[in-house]
Order: sequence, then structure tokens, then C-alpha cells
Amino acid sequence: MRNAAEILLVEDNPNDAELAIRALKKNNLANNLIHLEDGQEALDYLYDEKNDMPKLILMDVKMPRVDGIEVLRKLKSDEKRKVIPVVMLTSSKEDKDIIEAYNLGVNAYIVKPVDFDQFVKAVTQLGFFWMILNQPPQTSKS
Amino acid sequence: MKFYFDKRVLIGFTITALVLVVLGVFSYLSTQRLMDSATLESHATRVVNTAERVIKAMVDMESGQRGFLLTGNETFLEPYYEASANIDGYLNALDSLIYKGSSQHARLDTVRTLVSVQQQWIQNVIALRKKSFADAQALVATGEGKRNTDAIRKAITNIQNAEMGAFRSRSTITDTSVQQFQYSFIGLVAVMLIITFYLFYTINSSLRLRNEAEARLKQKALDIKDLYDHAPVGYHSLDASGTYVEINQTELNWLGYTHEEVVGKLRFRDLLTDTGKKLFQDAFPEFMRTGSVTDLEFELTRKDGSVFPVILNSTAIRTAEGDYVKSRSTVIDNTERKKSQDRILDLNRELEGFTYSVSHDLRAPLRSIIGYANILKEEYHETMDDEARRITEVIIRNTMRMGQLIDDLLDFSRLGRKQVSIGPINMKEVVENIVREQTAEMKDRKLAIKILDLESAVGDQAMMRQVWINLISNALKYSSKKEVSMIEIGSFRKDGRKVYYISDNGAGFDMKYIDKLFGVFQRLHKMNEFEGTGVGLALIKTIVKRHGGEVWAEGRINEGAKFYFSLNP
Repeated sequence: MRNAAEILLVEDNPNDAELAIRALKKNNLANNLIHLEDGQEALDYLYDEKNDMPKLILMDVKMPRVDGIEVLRKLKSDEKRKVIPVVMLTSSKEDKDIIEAYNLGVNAYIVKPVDFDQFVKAVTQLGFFWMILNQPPQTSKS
Repeated sequence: MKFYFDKRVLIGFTITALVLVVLGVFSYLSTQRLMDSATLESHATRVVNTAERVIKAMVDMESGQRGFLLTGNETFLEPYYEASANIDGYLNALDSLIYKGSSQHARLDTVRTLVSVQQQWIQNVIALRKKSFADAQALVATGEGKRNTDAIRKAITNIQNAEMGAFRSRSTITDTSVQQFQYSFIGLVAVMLIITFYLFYTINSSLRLRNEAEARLKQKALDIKDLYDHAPVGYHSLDASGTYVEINQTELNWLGYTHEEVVGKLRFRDLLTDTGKKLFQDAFPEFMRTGSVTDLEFELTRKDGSVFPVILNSTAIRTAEGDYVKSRSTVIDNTERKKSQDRILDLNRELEGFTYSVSHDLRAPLRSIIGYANILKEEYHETMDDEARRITEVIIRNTMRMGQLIDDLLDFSRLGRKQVSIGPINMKEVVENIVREQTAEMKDRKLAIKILDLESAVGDQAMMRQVWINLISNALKYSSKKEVSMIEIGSFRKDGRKVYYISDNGAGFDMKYIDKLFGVFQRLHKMNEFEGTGVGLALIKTIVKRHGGEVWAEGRINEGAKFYFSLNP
């Protein structure tokens, strides 16, 4: 049986993950969501032929083992996988992360706000935009 | 001709020369007068002597005649004949000696007449004697011969006296004039001696001063040479081919070479590493063209092959025509500075890492606290009592405040490292936009905001915008408890610098705490009076300082505050 996840959430902090999932769930966006805990798991999932490609990847920057920037670099230099929209979620406002992520071709980059209301808003809007409004190129789907 | 004497010596020489001229002229004239006198004297003597010969001839004639008269022997007549033959010659000689046209000629004529009378008389006596002794005796006894002789003698004496008198009256040399000449001569010589001594003294002392100055110059030159050689900085000069033409001891010590091994032999590029050679290849021609080069970093190779970093600064020495002669270069050993720089870079990296983890790791738990407290608030609202709800609010509010503090702190630390990008700033436009944005949601407040003409500035637009955002929001915040918020924004010039200000009629502050006003996390108001983290003014100060300006403020409790910042024009 094939995993047909729509959203891949890569986040090592379980609390952040829980809050994000809650926010998405409230808006019925988390029905097909898979939560992975670091970059290595994400790569394993994405390069497993059994799995369909997700419609959206929400990924933290700073993670153990393989970090978000590393995963991003791999995906964006891969002909097949670079069309998947990747949104980086980060606690950090550090310029070098943002610049590097955009250089690598990130689709969006948001700083997780401390304020919970704004966090919910941000995650929800992201979900809506990429899941419902965005029209992906019809190439990778079989 | 150029004179190097001092003025006094010059005057001394002039006076000496003048005295010498006077002495010369004086001596010449005196000698001339002496010679004239001598000529006159010898002439007079010759006149007197010749006249004397005439007398002697007369006497000889007479005595010859007398001898013959007495003896009748004709041999006694010999002196007579001799004198008689010579006497005309004597008279002619006298005639030629006497100056023409003088009264002496008349006297001489008298003598001539008297002589010829006497000659005639003597001839008569002789002729008579030859006939008869008695007749001749009677003729002599008349005494005519004696009278004639006396008359001749008298006439001759007259001539002699007249000649001597004339000599005396014409000779101007007198004893007193000789004395005067001697006194003057001695006086002039004395003056010359005094001047010569004075000159000697003056020249000597000026030579002494010159020697002293020379010695001082020599010492100075030694001092400068010592400074050149042993200053704690390398000095050298390169000619147009980049070859060392001069080098100081300090640089030689650093390099481990001797003076002989370097000057005229080594080129600067010979000491460079490959990267340095490339840099030098471009920089040296450019340096010869522009005439200066600043803070070039090179690595120099010592004689033993080891390498050390230096900073090079140079200016060019040119001829009057502008041709390159050589460089004056300073070389600074950069080893320690490089170490410090590396250390600063390390520290900066450390700080960046620290900032990064602060922003990451501190914010994450805060997010969770607020997130979960919000879940409590929203999803367990019904099951909590009022106290539990209040406590949840407090947790959320404080956590959010901590988040704000962390964000502000990060902004502040990021600002210190951020590059200032310079461009023109329309201050009036910036301020008007910010005021519009900030007052958009304050429809219920009574605001009187006056924006005067603001001079445009040069600086980092984003940073300057942050300054105004902080100042304007402060003014709005601290005047929020007044009936009407009165705010004025303007600019003026002070000492050539642009000064901007914003004043409000708000809570103000006590000037006692002015020192704390611009400090990080320093607050002069209680949290429940006015919210804030205490970073705003510190941020302003940092930005303005990085633009080369100053910030200051005036305030009175409950009357308002006025903030100023200055910028370079």
C-alpha cells in the first residue's frame, strides 16, 4: 500500500510539531500529514520509491543529523523532486539561513512567531496557499 | 656677488677700506710735497753755489792782478787768466738756473755789468804796470778796484738771498705741518687697529656661532638617522625598478639581512610570497602613477625562509618635473595585529553562534509555553475557574514579553554587525510615512503633530527609518495619557552639523537619570505605566553613532521630553 501523504512535516521539536499539526487540523488541512523528526528521516521517506511525493513539505531548519538546509539542497538539485514546494519554518531570523535557503530555491521561508495566534495564522495560511491555491506542475504524478 | 657677512662686519670692512684710501691719498700728497720741497732746495743750493763760484773767480782775478802788480812777474797772472776765461761760463750757468722772467735777471744783469767793468779795470791796471810800477800803483790807490769788488759781492749776495728767500716762501713744508701729518697718520692707524680688532672679534664670534650651529646640526642629523634606523617601524625606499635603495636597521633586523645584502641588490618583490608578487605587480605601477599607497598587506620572507605579515604604506618622491625618484615606505610588522584580528574574527563567530542559539533555542520553549497556554485558554475555557483563566493570561502575557525582549536584544546585537549602506534619505518623507502608519489606529486620540521642514540626510535608509520609528512611537506612547498629545519634529544646523529633534508633552523624565536613558534594557518608567523593553533608545544611539553622529535629550517629569540626534552634513 502506498503512502499518499499530502503534507510532510519535518520537525524535531515535538511541541512545535504538535502545535503545528493542531493548527492545520483546525482548518482540516492535516488529514494526510506525515510527521518526521529530522532531515535523515525526510530523505529516507522522499527517496523511498514506495512513497508518493507530498504536495507540500514544511521543514524546520535546525535539526539533528541532517538539517533542513541540507535536505533542501538535495531536493532542489534533484530534477524529479525540485518541483515539490518546500516551506522552511525556523525560529531563527539569522540572515545567512534566509539567504542560503533562497539561494537554494526555497519556495517560502517563515520565522515561527512566538505568539501562538500568529503561529496558527501563519501555518494555516501556508497550508491554504500551497495545498489549495497553488497549482503544481503536472509532471511528477503518475 | 652675494654677501654672507653679517652687517657689522661689512660696515667694518667698508670703514677700513675708506681709512686705507684716506691714508693712501694723504701719504701720496705728503710725499709729493716733500719731493717738491727737496727739488726747490737743491735748485736754490745750486744757484747759491754757482753765484759763489762767480765771487771766487772775481777774487782769483783780483789776487792774480795784485801779485803781478807787486812783483811784475807775469806768472802771477795765471789765475787771473783762468778765472777771466771761466767767469762768463759761471755767469751763463747762473743765468740758466734762474727762472725766466724773475727779478733775479735784473740782478744778474747788474752783476754782468759790474764784472765787465772790473775786468776792464784790471786789464787797465795790468797794462799800466807793464809800463810803470808807480802809475799802476797810483791807479790801484784810487780804490776803484776795491769798490767794484765790493759792489759785485753785494750784487751776488743779493741774488743768493733772493734765491733762498724764494725757496723759503715756496716750500710749504713746515714743522707744524709735518707734526700734523704724523698725528693724523697715527690717528688713522689707530682707527684701523680698533676696527681690525672689532672685525676680528665679530668674525670670530660669528664663526663660533656657526661652529656651534654646525655641531647642533650634526647632532640633529645623528638623531634623525638614529630615529630612521631604530624606530619601531621598518623604513625603506625603492627606485623605479622596485629595488631597495635605502632600508633602516629595524627592517633589516626583521628580515635578517645586512645592509650590503639588500641595498642595490634586492628587489622588494624578491621578498614576497606568490600572492604578494601578484598584488605588487599591479600595485607598484599604480603607486608610481598616483604617488601613494595605503595599508597594503603583504607577507615578507626572511633570509631564513620564514614569513611574517606586514602592512605597507608609501608615498613617492618626485623630481620638480614630476618624474618618480624613489618611495618613502613604512613597513609595520602585522604579526600581532593579525593575531588580534583572527581573535576578533573568532570572537565574532562565537558571538554569532551564541546569537544564533539564543534566537533558536530560547524562542522554541517560549513558543511551546504560549502555544500550550493558548490551548488551555481556548479548549479548556469552560472547565477552568476565573482564577485559573487569569493565571493562564498572566503566563501568556509574560511569555510574550520575554519573546519581545529576546527579539529586541537580537535586533540590537545584529545592528552592531550590520553594514551601513549609504544613500540619500528624504527625512521629511520618511517621518511623514511613519507618523501616518503609527497614527492610523489612533482615531480615538487627540493628536497635534507638527512636522516642520526636515533637511534631507545621507545614511542607511532602513536604519534611519528605525530611528524615527522608535522616536515617534516613544513620543506617542509617553504622551498617551495627556488630553492632547503634542509632538513637534524638526531640524536645524549646529556647528555645521544637521540636528534633528522630536519633542512631546508626555511623561518626560528626570534629568537626574539622563545617563541611563540610552542604555540597553534601561527603563525610567514602570511596566504598568508604559510598556517597553528598554532597547529602543539604545538602538537609536547605536545607529546614530554608526553614522558618526550624537544623541542627547532633555526632559522634565510630566512636562515632556525632547530628543536630538546629529548627523554629518
